[in-house]
Amino acid sequence: MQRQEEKVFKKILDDNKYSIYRICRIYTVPPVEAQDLFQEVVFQIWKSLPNFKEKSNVSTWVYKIALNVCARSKNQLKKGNINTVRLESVEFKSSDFIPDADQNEKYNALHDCISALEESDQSLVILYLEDLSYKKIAEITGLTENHIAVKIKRIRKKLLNCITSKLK
Amino acid sequence: MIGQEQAEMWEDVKEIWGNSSKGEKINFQVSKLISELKGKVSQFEMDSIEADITKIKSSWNQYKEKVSQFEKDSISKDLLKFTKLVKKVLQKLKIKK
Repeated sequence: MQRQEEKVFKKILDDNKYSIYRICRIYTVPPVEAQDLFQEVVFQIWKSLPNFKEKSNVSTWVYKIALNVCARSKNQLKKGNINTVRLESVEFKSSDFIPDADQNEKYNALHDCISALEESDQSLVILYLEDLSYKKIAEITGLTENHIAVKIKRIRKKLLNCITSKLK
Repeated sequence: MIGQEQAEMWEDVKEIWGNSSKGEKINFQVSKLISELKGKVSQFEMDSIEADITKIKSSWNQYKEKVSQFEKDSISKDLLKFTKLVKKVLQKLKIKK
């Protein structure tokens, strides 16, 4: 039983770790780092695992947790300080991929422009950037697919205008 | 034309997004991680609980003089029952683990 639990947990983390990391990174506000938020998300996934219903999609469930934890931490930070859980068994190492100055500048512009959006719009655009279908986004957010399509069109335009003006 | 330009820009944005996790390699020692997680209570949650307790305590100071001895005794009894119940549940959970 324990081995099974371990296997399931490992698969969830392996399949979703980089998506979680991207979400954490975009919600990062100093002094909290993406790695801190990532560990908190892992902790919350672990805690919610017994309540996970097999009938719902794993990645949908993981996205919901990641977005909730990250948005909540941002709100807590606004009110005062925030302490996230520390997990020694999660190891972060720099990879061989080193973004150049141009990519860094573009990422910073994207980060700032997403942060400037309303909270609900932030979640929508993040899920859209993750290449999720409107159907899946609807499952996560509870909005209708039509509503999402309309909103995404508007947010996308807003985001592109913001990035363009920042990169001028 | 503008539509084409926007579509290209969006592809660029998507690439930046996709690359944003490529700078880190994330590894887990899952068995160790599970033992670690079992022993953790998030500071994040503890802070929330502490904030709630502080709020309750400060409200309580406002009202405690207005509570009769009868009510205080009833609350004490209820708390005792509640504590016993929580202890039983925790005990059962420990046995399950």
